[in-house]
Formats: sequence, C-alpha cells, structure tokens
Amino acid sequence: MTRAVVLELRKMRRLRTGPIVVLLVLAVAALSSASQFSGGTRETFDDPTAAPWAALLLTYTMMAAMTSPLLTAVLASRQTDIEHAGAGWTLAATAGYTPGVLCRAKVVALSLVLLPAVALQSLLVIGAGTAAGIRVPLDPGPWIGYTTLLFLLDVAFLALHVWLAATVENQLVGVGIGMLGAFLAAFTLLLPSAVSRLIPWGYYAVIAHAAQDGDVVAYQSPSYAWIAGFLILVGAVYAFVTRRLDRIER
Amino acid sequence: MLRAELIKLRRSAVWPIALALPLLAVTTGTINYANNADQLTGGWVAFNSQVVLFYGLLFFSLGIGLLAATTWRAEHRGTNWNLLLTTSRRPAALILAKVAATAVSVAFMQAVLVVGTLVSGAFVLRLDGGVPWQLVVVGAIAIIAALPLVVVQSLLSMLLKSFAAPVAVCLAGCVLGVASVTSVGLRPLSHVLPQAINTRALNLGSTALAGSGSLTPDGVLPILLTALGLAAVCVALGVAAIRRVKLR
Repeated sequence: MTRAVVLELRKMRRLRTGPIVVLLVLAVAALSSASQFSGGTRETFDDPTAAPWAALLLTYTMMAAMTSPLLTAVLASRQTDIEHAGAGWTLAATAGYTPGVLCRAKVVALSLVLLPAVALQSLLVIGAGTAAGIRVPLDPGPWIGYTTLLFLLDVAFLALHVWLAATVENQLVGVGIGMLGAFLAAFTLLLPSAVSRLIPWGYYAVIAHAAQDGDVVAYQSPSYAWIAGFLILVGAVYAFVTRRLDRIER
Repeated sequence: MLRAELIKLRRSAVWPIALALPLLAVTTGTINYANNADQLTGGWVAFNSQVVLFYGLLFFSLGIGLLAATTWRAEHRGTNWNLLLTTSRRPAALILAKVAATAVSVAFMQAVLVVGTLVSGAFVLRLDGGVPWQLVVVGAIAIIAALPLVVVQSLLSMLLKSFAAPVAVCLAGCVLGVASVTSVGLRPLSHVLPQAINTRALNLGSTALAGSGSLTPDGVLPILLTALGLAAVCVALGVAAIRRVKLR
C-alpha cells in the first residue's frame, strides 16, 4: 500500500496537482477574506460584541462549501482518469496493484496533498483577518475544529469521486455531480440542519462552526455525532465498493 | 462540420447536466423566496434575483466549462486527435463548430432556466403581476454574453487534454469574477473577465447584487458589444494556437 501511495504521488507531478491545489486554495482564501477590506466590515473590528472572527469564519464556510465539492471532484477525476487511458488498470493489476488497492491509494495520496492545503487555506484566511486589522483576540477552537472537519469531509468526497471516476469512464458524470454538489452545499447553508443532514453535500453546512441568527453572527458547535456517522458510513461504503472493484471484469 | 458536432452532442451526457443545473437554480430560488416571503416583497424581480444569485455568480460559468470540456473530450480519446489533424477543413471551421455546439447546449440551459423560473413563479409561488417578459430578454442576452467564456473554455479544453483541468481553471476565473463584481477596486476587471460578464448579464435588473446594471440599452449594449468583441478575439487566438501548438 505504501508503495502504491508513493506511485500515486509520482503520478501527480505530471498532472500538476500541486499547482491546481495551490491556485484554488489561494482563490478560496482570497474570496473569503475579500469583504474584510471593505469599509462596513472594518467598523466591527474593535467591537467584541460584533464578533468579527465568527463572521469571517462564516464567510469562509460559505466559500469552502461552494468550492470544495468541485475541487475534490476535479482532483479525483484527474488522478483516476489517467488509468482509463492506455489500459492503466490492467497494467497496475499485473504489477500487483488491483483496481481496489489503486483507488484506495489514490484517496490516501490526494489526502496527503489536501491536508497541508486546507490548513494553509485556514491560516491564510486568519492572516487576512489580522492584516485587515481585527483587534479582537482570536479563539482558535472553532477554527481548528472547522478546518479539521473540512479536511475530513473533503477526504470523504475524494473517495466518492475516485470511485465515480473509476467506474464511470465519462468524466463529465463525476465532475458534473461535483458541480451540482457544490450548488447543493452552498444552498444547504440556508436550510435548517435537519434537512442538510440528509443530503451528502449538506455536511459542508453541518460542519459550520459559526451561524447567523438575525443580524448576530456567533460561534456554534456542530452536531459531531451526525458528522462522525456520515464519515464512518462513507468509509465503510468505500471499503466495500473498492473490494468489489477488484472482482469485476473490465 | 457543425452537423458532425451536433450528432456527437446529441448522444453525449451533457443534457442531464444542462437540465439539472438550471432546475436546481430554480428550485433553490423558489425555496429561498418562499422562506423569506416576508422580507422579499419585490415579486417577480426579487424572485428572479434569488434564482440567479448562486447560478449567476458561479454555476452558469462552471456549467459552460463542463459543456465545453465535453465537446472536446472525444477528440482527446484514442487516436482521434491525429485523425482531426488530417482533416482538409480549415482550423477556424473546427473551432467555430465546437463553439457553436457548446453554445447550443448553453442556450438549452438558459431556456430551461427561463421556462423553469416562469413556471415556478406563476404556478408554485403564484406571484402577482403579469408574466414578466424581461426574463426572456435577459435569458437571451445571457446566451450572447456567455460567448467569450464558451470560446475561452473551448480553447482551454482543446489545449489541455484532461477533462477536469479546464473546469478547475474556470472555477479560478469564477472566483476572480465574484471578487471583481462585488468589490469596487476590481470593478474594471468585471467588464473584460468572461465569467464576470456572465454574472453581470444574468443580474441585469436584479435586486440581489449591488451595482447591477439595468435592463436599458445603456446597460445592455456594452455587455453585448464586449462579449462579441472578446469572443471574436479569442476565436482568432484559438485558430493561431491550433496551428502553432503541437499536441500529441
């Protein structure tokens, strides 16, 4: 498995996975913190009751929900699509890496790239907030919690999209579903959480650590049980479907 | 050549996406309008603004990226690219055929959006006032305004062999587009960035996005003229690229 992961990391160099991830991370961070430099927002910076950090986290949640489903779809599709060309599945299988192993290795390798990327993204947003001049002290708890859950959720969707890209050769299906998912993720932020929990992409809203109630933005704790349940479910389903990939004939 | 493209398009999987995306926009817009009916009192205008909010900022442009990538995907499979290079037709004809095929599916997407908005507004929300024909006009304008992005995405999909990479580039452009439309400092960029032109076209006469143009010749003509000019420039670039860049 370790060798398979190293192999996947080597494949990424020619796929330019690194530059794509960096580009999108910078874009999301810029979009999340753009409002920090506007006049209206600046007046709230010295006022602890206005909770400028929670408001920033909420904007960040919105932008991450809008872009992460598509980002994971694109990364997974690129990493998996290459196996469809030139009988990659067969070649890897003769070298001892069955399609199931290959798919699991792809998810692990992509997660290794995504972990520093998501952490960097959060740090950039915090950095932009500080640079814009937020004076209220930062409570790191919600930020660390949100970043961790965002990463875990991205891994879950990477798994879904690697499987989709491996089973459906037409990459339009995987990337298209990622795009519709991004739409749903952004929209579920406006829905009650009872509904968001029933939609897979709704979990980008369920993990939100900040919420708006009327005009007041405040930190909140997400329902960890539902999130853990969703992640375990995805893990179990992925283990099952990748084992099945080993047995089907291409 | 266009006929060949349309045959390829007919059997491709773009239609479910081109149907689902605008329907999702209409559904979310309807739910959002119904939930906030006490705050949104503008009737048709407010409802349409809700429908095109996310759709105009991001997903219309992303949809175009996907549709363009799909029309080129077949040429990057197997040895099809070599086959394409042996054609006796002019490169411009190929590029224009691809652009036209993509534009047909974009037009379909817009038609679904407009019809969906009208049906939902009239029969689900039962909005007062006559059926606003401005919606149809904005829908048609958005198709023309989409042309620069159609051409740009088409070129990216031609040059990048991967299916998903052009869509990622489109997403980065959308992010820049959102920034240029919402911030004052970057406003000039929103007049030339294809994604931002889409956002501005779809939000003509909208109330949800500050600084939207109005549906008058003063607001519409600049968008249409830049769109057509930009599209023409990009087609010329594409013809130059297909001659100079050697793809394997």
